[in-house]
Amino acid sequence: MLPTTDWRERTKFLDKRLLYAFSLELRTSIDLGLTAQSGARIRTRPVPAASRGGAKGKSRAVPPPLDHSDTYHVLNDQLIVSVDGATHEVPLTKVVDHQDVLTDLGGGVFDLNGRARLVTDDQASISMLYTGVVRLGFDGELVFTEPDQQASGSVQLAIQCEADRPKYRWLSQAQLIAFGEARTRTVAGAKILALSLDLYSAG
Amino acid sequence: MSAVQAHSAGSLALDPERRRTFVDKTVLYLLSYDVEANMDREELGFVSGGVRVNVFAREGMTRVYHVARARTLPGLGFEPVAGSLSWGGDWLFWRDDDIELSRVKMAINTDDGAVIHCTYDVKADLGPGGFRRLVGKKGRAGNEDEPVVFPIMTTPRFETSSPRYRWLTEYQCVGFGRALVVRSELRRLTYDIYVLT
Repeated sequence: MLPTTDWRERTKFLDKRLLYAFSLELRTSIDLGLTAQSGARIRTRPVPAASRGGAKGKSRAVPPPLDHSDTYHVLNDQLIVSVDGATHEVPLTKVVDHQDVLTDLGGGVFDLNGRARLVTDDQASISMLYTGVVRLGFDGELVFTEPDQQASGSVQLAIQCEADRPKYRWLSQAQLIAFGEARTRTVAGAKILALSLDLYSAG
Repeated sequence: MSAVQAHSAGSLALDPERRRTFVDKTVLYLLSYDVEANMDREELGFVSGGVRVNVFAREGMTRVYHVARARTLPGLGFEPVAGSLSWGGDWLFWRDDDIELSRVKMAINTDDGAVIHCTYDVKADLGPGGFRRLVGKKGRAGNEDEPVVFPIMTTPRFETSSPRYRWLTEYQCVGFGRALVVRSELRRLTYDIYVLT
């Protein structure tokens, strides 16, 4: 017989664990002209690094990194423990490509869908897909239409990764969630959406 | 030295401008639900990269509830969600690299008459050799006396037109669950869902 007593209307919570994995900085450029045309759906573009270009004329499997978009450990540790108890090196990566789509849910809350490609310092590629919510306050919508309007708030994301190398396979197996800060600012005439995230493996 | 290596060497050392404190995080309990899987599942079989199976919730054998039977949700201030699933399906894809990907869609009928749509993607580690155990004829996972219980993580989002539960649409959630497997067939699921703030 199947154990039925514990499966109906539990009175105890299931065990849950959130373990810090690493932090991620993402910068995207908001195209105000495109936003005015697309209404509730807002697309952002990657911010190229000032030194973007690198080896001209050579074919490169790895594009140059984007400006201020990378991963790190807040406490500068080199090792982390995932929810399965295994110890891993902190993946130190640069973001080489990413794009976000924000959908206005009203009240300064936005649905966020995005993808990013990260390249580690040992040249492994990690694909990252994420969905979640960005909160920019009650007048947060104005950020995407008014050039001078700035806002800050919070962001919560669910992240899934795919990595080809065995060293980073734990990222493919893990469900990651992220808590972070969202902030807009204008740099050299371009409006930037900056996300500063702490990623946790959940289990 | 590649562009990435050059960039890394310059800034991955201790950067004084880096954030050195964690961002505040809060995980607030939202609801729990239990689902029995319908045994009449759709086995699509081997496809590129793995095996596809569609599993659906068994009618009348689901429940959405609050574990502590509280009258309000602590930290959120809203009334808890209680009801049952009117429909639910899990489009499973067991990858041949021992990872499960699935997409779940379900509709919650609350006890006060609202309908809440819920979707999420699931990613689960099947463990070493898990794919072969699930699809092979020999050595199937679990039996009636000793079912196998897999931990499962989900990240649900909710949609509803009900003003009473409109607040649910503005949260990203995370679910901590257990799946009970008998003879490599998913029999029951139970989850605790939390709101990320």
